[in-house]
Amino acid sequence: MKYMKLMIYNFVFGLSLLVSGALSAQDLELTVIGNPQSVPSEMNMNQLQSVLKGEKFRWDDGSPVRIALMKTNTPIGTTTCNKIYNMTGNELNKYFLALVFQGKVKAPTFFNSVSELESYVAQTPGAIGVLQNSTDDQIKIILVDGKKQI
Amino acid sequence: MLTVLFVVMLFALFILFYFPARQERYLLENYNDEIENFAKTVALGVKIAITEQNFEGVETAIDFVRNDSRLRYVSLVQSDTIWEADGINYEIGKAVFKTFPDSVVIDAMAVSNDFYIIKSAAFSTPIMSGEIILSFSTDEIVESRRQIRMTSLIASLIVFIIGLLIGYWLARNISIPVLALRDAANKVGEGDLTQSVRNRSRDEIGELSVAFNKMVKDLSIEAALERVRSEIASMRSKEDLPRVTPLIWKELTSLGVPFIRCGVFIVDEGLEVIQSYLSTPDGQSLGVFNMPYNGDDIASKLYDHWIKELVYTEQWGKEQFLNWMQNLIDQGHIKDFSTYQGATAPPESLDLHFVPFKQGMLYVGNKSVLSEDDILLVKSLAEAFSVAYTRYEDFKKLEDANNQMEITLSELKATQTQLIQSEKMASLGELTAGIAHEIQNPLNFVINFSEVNGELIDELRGERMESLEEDILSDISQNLEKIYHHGKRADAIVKGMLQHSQTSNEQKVATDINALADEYLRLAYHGLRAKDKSFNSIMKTDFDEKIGSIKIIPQDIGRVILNLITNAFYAVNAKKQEIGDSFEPVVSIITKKIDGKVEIKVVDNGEGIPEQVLDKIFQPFFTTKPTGQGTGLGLSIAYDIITNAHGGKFKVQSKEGEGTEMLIIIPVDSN
Repeated sequence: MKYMKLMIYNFVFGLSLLVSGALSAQDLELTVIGNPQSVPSEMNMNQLQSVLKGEKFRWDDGSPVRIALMKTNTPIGTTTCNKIYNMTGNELNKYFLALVFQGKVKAPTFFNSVSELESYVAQTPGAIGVLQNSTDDQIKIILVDGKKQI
Repeated sequence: MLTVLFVVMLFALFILFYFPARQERYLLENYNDEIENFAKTVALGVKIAITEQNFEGVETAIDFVRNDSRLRYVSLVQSDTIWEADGINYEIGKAVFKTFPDSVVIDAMAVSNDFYIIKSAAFSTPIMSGEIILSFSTDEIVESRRQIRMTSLIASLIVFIIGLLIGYWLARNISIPVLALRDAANKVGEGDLTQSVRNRSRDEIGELSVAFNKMVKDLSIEAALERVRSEIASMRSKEDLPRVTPLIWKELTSLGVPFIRCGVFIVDEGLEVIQSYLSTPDGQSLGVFNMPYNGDDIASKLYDHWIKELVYTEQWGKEQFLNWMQNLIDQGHIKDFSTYQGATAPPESLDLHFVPFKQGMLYVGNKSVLSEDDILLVKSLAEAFSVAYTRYEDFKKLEDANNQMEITLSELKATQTQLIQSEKMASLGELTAGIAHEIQNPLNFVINFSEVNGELIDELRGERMESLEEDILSDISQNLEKIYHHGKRADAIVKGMLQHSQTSNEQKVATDINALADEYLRLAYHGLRAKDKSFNSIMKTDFDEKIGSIKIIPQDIGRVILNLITNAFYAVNAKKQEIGDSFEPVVSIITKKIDGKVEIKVVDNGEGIPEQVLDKIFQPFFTTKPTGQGTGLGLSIAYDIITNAHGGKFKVQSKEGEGTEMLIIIPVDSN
């Protein structure tokens, strides 16, 4: 009886975690950041999706586009997949694998931590990344459809 | 040479076939490995990209592969498990995920062939499994193979040409010289010592050739010397020297020593001259003359160098040669120019070489200076000539000694004849008394019967009575017979005496040996008695009547018997005088015929012969008699007569103080 109670508790706790995680991922607000050089300060969602899917190779000033993303197993990465790519993490991986395999795109760089991503974007000309929020002065926040967060 | 060609061919074929095949195989293996590594790298990149979301690895790998011109395609094939409806069985389905280039349609089951190589590398991740398939063109391999083959062909050609050049070089510098050496060695082995190998290289072959040439040269020198020594060994008289001398010049020519004039200069230290015998190389005499030591300048120089055993050389021009000839003519050594110069014209230049040997110097004249090797050859032959000349001198000494010996022998023979005659005369002297005694008897008869006959004739004249006449005439007749008989006997004695004194004519005649022995016994006895009235001896005879007449030289055998009996009488007489009347001398003569041999034995009981002189009694001039009483030749001559002239034996048995037995054995068959 006691064992049964423990199982029930565990199940309820796990389910609550899962639901809360899913809800948090859906609820996360994303901010698009870019290297102060080359990356434009504002773009619409379609432009953003085109850039992040690797369809745009260079910015207007000619510098190469460098995509920086949080790994898909992080909440930001998952949210990014859902909100911007409309894909799961695996699908994103396969997507980029296919493009990289055929040499059609410069592969994006995935990070485990926000700070690493921020640092990369700040130091890499042409770099554009997605995170939850940023207060780093060395990077600029790109408005998407006129909004800082999406 | 064939070995070299074989090795070169082998090496060229190796380079032409084996080497490219090996290279191609190595190249292909490397190519396969390279492609396989590419596939594995890409597969690893894919795995990392999917699991770690790190696309840098796969990007780098794929970029690297994609930029390779040999790439046909690179494909990512996804493997999916396809479950059947029963939910138990399944199969692995392969689907091409992506391929570069896009346009290529690949067969996931394709394998490598001659035109391309296909390699795959599997990967597996939680969300995706599959394999990377890489296909590379073999065009580059084919091109590389073609280049390898071309390179091998060129290399093998180069190797072959180099091999041929090496082979030619080896043949020229090793094979040909070695074969030439072999041929020359074979010919040398067959006795041809004129062989020489031309090789001026400074390598081992060159050194071998030089050594071979030296060996052949040494052999030819040794052979030449051996021929000369052989000729020298065949010398049997001093007349052989002129035969040996040209041989030396001939050998000098055969050894390649150049010369136009030659000669032998013998130093005679006794006469203080140098005897010169000049000739042409073929032995034609150019002049023979003597040069005093102190005469010409060259003579004194030659003598000085000969004493010091040094080679003397001098160079003459034509003028010096003519002056020298004139000098020889002035001194009367040679008669004319043409003979001495040995040619129609005198030499323009003449190098004189005098090589010393024990007895003088060997002269070699040439148009130029002889090399040291040539001088050494002349020295060798000079030494050989020295041996020949020594033999010549030995023969000369031997001949002189032989001549002297013959003269001495002739004188000895004359002396011996004279001595034998003296011995005869001596024995004749010993016989004289006996002969006189023997002759006296018949002469007494002759005289007495002659006187009686005279008286009878007177009586017959006085009384002429018929009856008395008859008796007287009968007596006279008997007396005359006796006179005749004794006259004949005296005649026989005188003839015998003459025969004794005559030189033996060595004619054997049938002789009554018993009568001969008896006669000489009596002659000896009466001879001694005549000289010494006190001498007396019993004489015993024991003659074998079966002997009859045997063929001997009677004078010689008589002389022997007389000698033995005289010696026997001398021995018994000496003993008689030593002992006195108590001693009764006895001398016996015994003859006997035994098995075809006749023995004559003379036995006495005299003082005997001392043992220490017993083996000397037959030596000439040995005698035990006082000086003047014996020549010492009696028994020596007797021994010679018995052993040499009659083939018999002479034996002596004697014991000092008891007597002597002399035994003569004469074979009857050899008569």
